[in-house]
Amino acid sequence: MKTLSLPNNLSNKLLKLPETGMGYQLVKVVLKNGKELQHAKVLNASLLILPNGEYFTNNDIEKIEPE
Amino acid sequence: MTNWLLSKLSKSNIETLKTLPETGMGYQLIKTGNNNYVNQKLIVLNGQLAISENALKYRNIIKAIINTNFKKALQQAREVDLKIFDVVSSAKQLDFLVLEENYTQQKSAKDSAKENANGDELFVRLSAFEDDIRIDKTNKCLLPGSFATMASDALRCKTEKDNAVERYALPTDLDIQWAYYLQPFPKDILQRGTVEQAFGKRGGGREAFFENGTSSLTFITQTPW
Repeated sequence: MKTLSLPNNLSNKLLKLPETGMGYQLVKVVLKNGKELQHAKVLNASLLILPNGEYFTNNDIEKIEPE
Repeated sequence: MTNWLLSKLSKSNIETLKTLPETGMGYQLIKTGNNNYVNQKLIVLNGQLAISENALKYRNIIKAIINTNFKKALQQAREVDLKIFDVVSSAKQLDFLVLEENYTQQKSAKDSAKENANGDELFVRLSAFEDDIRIDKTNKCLLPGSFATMASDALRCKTEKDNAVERYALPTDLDIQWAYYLQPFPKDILQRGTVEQAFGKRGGGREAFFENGTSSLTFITQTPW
């Protein structure tokens, strides 16, 4: 399982949004290249699980939205 | 009725109980009263730590908390000064309550009606993280928009050897390492439900969603799971 520790600004944003289940949120990740990743999992409002076959860094993230 | 699961007795109470016989090895069952405890029976452990009769429905949880760190449990308990009427000689006089959840409700928590906590019920947030970000340890509360489960339901993972990751349909296979115990106040609002199947996990456990979080001082303790 590949994960990405989100920066504080994104983590703080997620912390203000409701959880999907105990300890996690399902989010949409929008990358700067325009790609949208649906149903991405974030644990503890801070740890993004990279979907299979995807690799990117925090610098590649345009925004994260709740689903 | 106090909102606290465990209470630390005042020095005066401790001295009084030292002069009275035990009910059983290491504990005294007392009849007592004050503004919070009206004509109640309490179990006092080690002559210091009082557990209300209502809280005994969670006796396995209490046992886990105390076994993990009695000193810490004592430090975190609120101090009370009781008027001690009597020490009960036999534990048979205490009705041990068994909590039976109503498992007929199958809606997820977010689809269920809102209700107030009863002030006695214990909840647990299971986590793979030692520093769960949704637990505000400064204000001792659960942050808004967070889930937990009923302590009685989490206990089933232990008693029935049920995998918590399966029971609560968690998105990864990270092992649960920590349990965060919460006792919301009556003013706290929650929604109860049943965890739906997700991520290839069967779900079926009970869940509680706290849209507004819980009040300050409702986070009781954190123990290894």
